Amino acid sequence: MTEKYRNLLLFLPVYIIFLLIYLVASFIEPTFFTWNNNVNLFTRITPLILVGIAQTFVILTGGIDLSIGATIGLANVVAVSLPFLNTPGNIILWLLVPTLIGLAVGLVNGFIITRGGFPPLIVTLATGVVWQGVSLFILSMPGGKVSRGVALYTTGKLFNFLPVPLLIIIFAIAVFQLVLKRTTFGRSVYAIGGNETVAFESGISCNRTKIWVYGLSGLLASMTGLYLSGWMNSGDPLVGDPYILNSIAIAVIGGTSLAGGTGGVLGILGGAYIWQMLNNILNLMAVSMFYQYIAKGLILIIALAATSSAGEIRIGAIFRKPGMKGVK
Amino acid sequence: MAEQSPSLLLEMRGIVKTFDGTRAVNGVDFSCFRGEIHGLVGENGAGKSTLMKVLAGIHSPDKGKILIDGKECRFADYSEARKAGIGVVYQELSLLPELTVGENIVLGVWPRGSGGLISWRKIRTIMKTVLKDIGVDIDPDILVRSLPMAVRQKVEIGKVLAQEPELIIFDEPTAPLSRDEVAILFEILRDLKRRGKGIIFISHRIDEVLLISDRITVMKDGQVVVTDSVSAFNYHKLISSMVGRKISEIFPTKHGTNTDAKVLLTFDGILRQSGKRIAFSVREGEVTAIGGLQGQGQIELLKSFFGIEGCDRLKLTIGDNPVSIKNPIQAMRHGIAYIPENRNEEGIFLILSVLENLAANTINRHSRMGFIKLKEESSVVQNMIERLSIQISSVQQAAQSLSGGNMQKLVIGKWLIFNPHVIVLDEPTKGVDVATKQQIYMLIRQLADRGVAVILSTSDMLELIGMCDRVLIMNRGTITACLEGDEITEENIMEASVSREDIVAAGAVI
Repeated sequence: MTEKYRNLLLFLPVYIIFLLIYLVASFIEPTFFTWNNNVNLFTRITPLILVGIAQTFVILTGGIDLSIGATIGLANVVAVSLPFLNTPGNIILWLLVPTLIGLAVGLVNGFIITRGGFPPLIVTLATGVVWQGVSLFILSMPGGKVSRGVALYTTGKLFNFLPVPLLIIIFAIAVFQLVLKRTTFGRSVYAIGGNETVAFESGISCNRTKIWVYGLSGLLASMTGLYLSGWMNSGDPLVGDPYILNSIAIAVIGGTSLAGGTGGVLGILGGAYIWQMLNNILNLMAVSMFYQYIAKGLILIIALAATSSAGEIRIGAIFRKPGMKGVK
Repeated sequence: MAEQSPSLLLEMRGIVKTFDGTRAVNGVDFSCFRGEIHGLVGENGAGKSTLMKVLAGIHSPDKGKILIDGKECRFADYSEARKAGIGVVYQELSLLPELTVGENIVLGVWPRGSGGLISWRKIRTIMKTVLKDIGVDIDPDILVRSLPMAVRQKVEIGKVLAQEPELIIFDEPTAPLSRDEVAILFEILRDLKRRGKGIIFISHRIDEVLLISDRITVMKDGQVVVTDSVSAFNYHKLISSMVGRKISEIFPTKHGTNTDAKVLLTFDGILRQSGKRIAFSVREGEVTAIGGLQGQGQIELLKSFFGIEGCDRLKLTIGDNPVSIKNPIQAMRHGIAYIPENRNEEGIFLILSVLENLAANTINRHSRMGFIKLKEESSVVQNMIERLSIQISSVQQAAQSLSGGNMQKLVIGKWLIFNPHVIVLDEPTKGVDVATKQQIYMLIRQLADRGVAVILSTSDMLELIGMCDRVLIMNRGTITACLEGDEITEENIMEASVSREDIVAAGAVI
């Protein structure tokens, strides 16, 4: 029984924690459980979900993408700095140009990593710095403006009641769950993270898959940048910075192991909620910025311990028969 | 043998050790006297290694007692066992190649001088006595990397003797040695015996065990089959008690060689590692084996079928078509399957599910436009699970929770689903139980009968003799002998394996 639902059990802890925090918050602060507050929450977690999915795909292959922040910034400044794009009539171009740039940025990462055989950590750190520079060149100070009509496509409401962020969240998680579980691409992602040598010797195109995984990460990061430009109604070359840590934290809290091969996007919603609610709570409690950093770092380390292979055994032991796992 | 009345050095009573619900060692009694060489034999997976690891403190027993000189002992780890006088000379040498001989011998002991610093003067004194003991004259400052295998092993023995153990376990010490080197090793063993040490000698070479041991214990399926003095055994009796039946009952009937049979595959290339030419062919209906000592270029030869490392100027024909292979994807396009030796590192996705493992190399075949046809895939996988009778609780189960035999079935099953024309197997029965072994032998024979070109690399003597129609012996990066039919005997195989000359002139096509 437990073995059969192994993949779902992986995501159980994160939703238990999510429910606990949600219930406690609703209990303490009655306005928390109102539709308006929840719409507000959807708006805030949408970028977290998008970068969380991006980072999850990369981490599943055993890699990491530190250029996510810079890619968000790049798409963000491009979206506000090209005036001809920024009209309701040009919405398609406004969506397309920054995302294609993001895709290209990601593909370049993947190309350098696979052709050069370099560690993803260093490659994405380096390209991130390059794109950060380009963004600062395009827009050296926060500023710019998004036309009202365009902004509605990010944080507005469909038919005047369905929040667009909620649609983005549901759509993104559903699509990428499908990609992971039903496509040869998704299967290859798990195989590479599971053991790249075995994947290679099973005839899986490891390099091609990895290039597309980084491409996907760049694509989702640029969509996040677009979303932020619509939501904030301005551009900021450094807007992506916190999302490097955010994306890793959400992927890990969402049950994806940094060693690769285990996890998925189903835990992302819970992960993003937990991370956002923690922010809210810390803010509400008027905790100083310094302590917030310390608290976030510690929470990430706890999440890492829980999803590392040793932690998995400990948590998994709650659901598993004794003696299933042993080292021979 | 002993002049004084022999005193019991080691006694193990009712040892039980369980892994994943299977009893690797199940109620074993074992003993060793001072001044005795006690041979321990059994097939892979019989429980010898586990028993010795329990003795060396690496595993703690679930049940049972260990008594040394009559006193009950419990070891939390190897260093505690070492303090109690137990030393282990490992099968895979545990020397660090980038350190010097001296550094290796005192590794983890570190004699201290004044001020707590490591005293190299003391180390040199220890070195001298130890190296004299084992009869070698080596400069302690030389790097282990630069020593030949046989000398390395002496250093390994020296390292263990430096801790002055009373009981020494030799875990397949003769595997990498030539006949002369074995004779020297045996002199060392006899000397240790004269000095009243207890020695446990583990080996797969039956004749050596019969030659050196005073008593022999045979293990099978985690239990002791028999313990008796060496005079009670002969070659055939020892083998049949090891495997529990006659050789003819384990292996499917051989077809023998048929020189008129169609040639399925020819191989001709220069092994990069040795710079020597290797050429051979595989005929229809035959199981062609690659034998020889470990590390003679077998892995490189086999991997070149998958375009990984291996061979230069490789000319490979399958059927009558010349094929060129640069990577596994191209190899698979030509219908080649390769089952690597290191299952956990190269053969299986430990953290992925049974289904993901079995379907890994056929996802493209069972998909349309990148979408996997889950029903089709699931039924193919289910069929293979039933065909190989793989014991699982669900296809979603993680592969790492399976037993060694079932893991190996996943690797083989994955390639059976692929349906190859050529199958290259590297030690496919390593670390699997006897029943699975028999099943694997049957499968290999069936594949050969169905016209698949089978290349089997193995270091298991019984397998070479019992299973294979043609045995090519690899030695120092080339093929030194091709044995067929009645020529496939333990003696011929050993002879060709340790020979220092190329029996077959370089470049001959076999």
